Amino acid sequence: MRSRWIPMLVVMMAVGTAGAGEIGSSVYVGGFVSQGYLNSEDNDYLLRNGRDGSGAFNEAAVIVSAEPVDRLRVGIQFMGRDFGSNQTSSVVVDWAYGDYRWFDQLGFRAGRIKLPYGLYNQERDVDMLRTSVLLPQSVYSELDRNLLIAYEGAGLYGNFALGSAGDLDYELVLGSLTMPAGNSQDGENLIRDVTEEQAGAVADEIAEYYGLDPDSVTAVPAGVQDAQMSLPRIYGGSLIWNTPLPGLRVGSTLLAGEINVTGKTGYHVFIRTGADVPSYLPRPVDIDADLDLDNVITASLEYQRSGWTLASEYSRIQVEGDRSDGWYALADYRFSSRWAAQTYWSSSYPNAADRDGSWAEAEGYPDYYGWQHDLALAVRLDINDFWLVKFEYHHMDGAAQAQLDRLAEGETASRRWRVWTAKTTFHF
Amino acid sequence: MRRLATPLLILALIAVAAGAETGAPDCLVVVANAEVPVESISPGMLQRIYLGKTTRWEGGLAIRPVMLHDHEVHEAFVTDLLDRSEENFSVYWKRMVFTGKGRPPRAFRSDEELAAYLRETPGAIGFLSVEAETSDLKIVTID
Repeated sequence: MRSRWIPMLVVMMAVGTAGAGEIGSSVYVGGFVSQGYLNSEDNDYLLRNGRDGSGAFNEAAVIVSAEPVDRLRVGIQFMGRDFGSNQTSSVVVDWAYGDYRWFDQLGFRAGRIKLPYGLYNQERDVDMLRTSVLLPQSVYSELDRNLLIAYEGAGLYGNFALGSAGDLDYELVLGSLTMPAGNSQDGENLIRDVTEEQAGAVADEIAEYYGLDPDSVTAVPAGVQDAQMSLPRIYGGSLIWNTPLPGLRVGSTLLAGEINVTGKTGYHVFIRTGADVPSYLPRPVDIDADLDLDNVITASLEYQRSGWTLASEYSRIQVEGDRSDGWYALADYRFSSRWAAQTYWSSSYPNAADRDGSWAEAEGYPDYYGWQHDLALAVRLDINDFWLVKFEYHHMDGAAQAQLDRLAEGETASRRWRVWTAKTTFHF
Repeated sequence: MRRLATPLLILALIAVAAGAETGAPDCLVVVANAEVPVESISPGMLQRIYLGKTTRWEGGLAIRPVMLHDHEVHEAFVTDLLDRSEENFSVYWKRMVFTGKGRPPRAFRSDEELAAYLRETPGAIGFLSVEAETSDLKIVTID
């Protein structure tokens, strides 16, 4: 755990010792500390250093909220998170906003606000709210977390009672998102996509400049440095119908916006002029690209009753016409106040138009780069009201979410592989 | 028409299942501050209040829901009147707290503390053990 978190932990321990919850009648304090371990037998999944097992998998948060005047609530959550070399942060403001609720059907929020996306995105970092360590990665991919976690802006929300038809929650959002510098795996991936798409054009341009045969010039994308991604604009909303059947809710999210990626990359340009060894010409490129986040769509269903939770969600993300999607089905049972177990099946497809991986084969990769199926089994034990532990196993088929840039030259990701993970959380 | 049959059947089943009445348990009494403008309340409205969905009484007075914590009638209130498990109710409010959307109803450890809060707080509603002292409080019947 990082030393810069220590001040926050001291605050948490002090508050916890004092008896967390309410301070006076209007201030509320809460928090949690989680420490996990993840071992990915192949494919270096998620943490980018998990092949040998990694404990760089933790988070801690403190939340303070208050109601200074009638109808107005303000709150802030400080959070530190370590998720391997993919996402590492010092303590940051995870969310902070003011919330003025005129009446039950209409409220207004402004600040840094958790983004509505599916049923569980807003709570995805709060480990004690679920049985599993990892949410189904087909819909809640940790690799896309920075893209969808929160926005800075304003939103409207409310709840409509529908009488015998249940009630309806809605949220509308408008804002932007800036991500921590030097912390964007998503940005690296997008820049890699851009450079690969433009490799042919770069080769043609060089061939034309030097008056060469276009077939004699090859441009190979180089690595990416200083990747940074932001969403200058994001808008949309979510709708959740809490049906009159107790425990059944149905929801959907629709978002769209713009993505900006910047970074340093380039091409290794090889020119064959008749000699056996081609000439080499490095071509650095500064990327500053605006991309359309065409749409983000989810459809969700959840039923909770008698200790059971059954849920299924579908999500689709389309950037510049390229569509990825995924879905999962989940069954969770709480045996007692201490024990719970969960299993889910999760399938993700980086190219929703070609689920059998033909596109991957056409690019010289195995077809199983075109999907990833995840059968997960999780067990949770609440040791007491403030401390829990979890154990989880994943059997994977496919390598769609494997981090291919981590593979050595000539190495191929495994098709069938296993992931073990465990986590413990203290909360108050 | 056949296309509509399946969704209509599902909605009908949902409505029938939802129609099951939730009775008030014998071990507790729902009480409120004397200024609260209701004499009776439905389980559905209690659910909306205790889930933070309805926050105002008719006329605009803020609703202040409160409950007993670590108390034998708490489970009866949550399961019989709110139609949820205690675990489910707890997770619901943790979710609200950690996303900044709300805070759970204030909790008291004894009937006496809760009754005192109800007496002095306009808009407050809660529940007490059936044998608790309820003077100066409004007894709210369950529809």
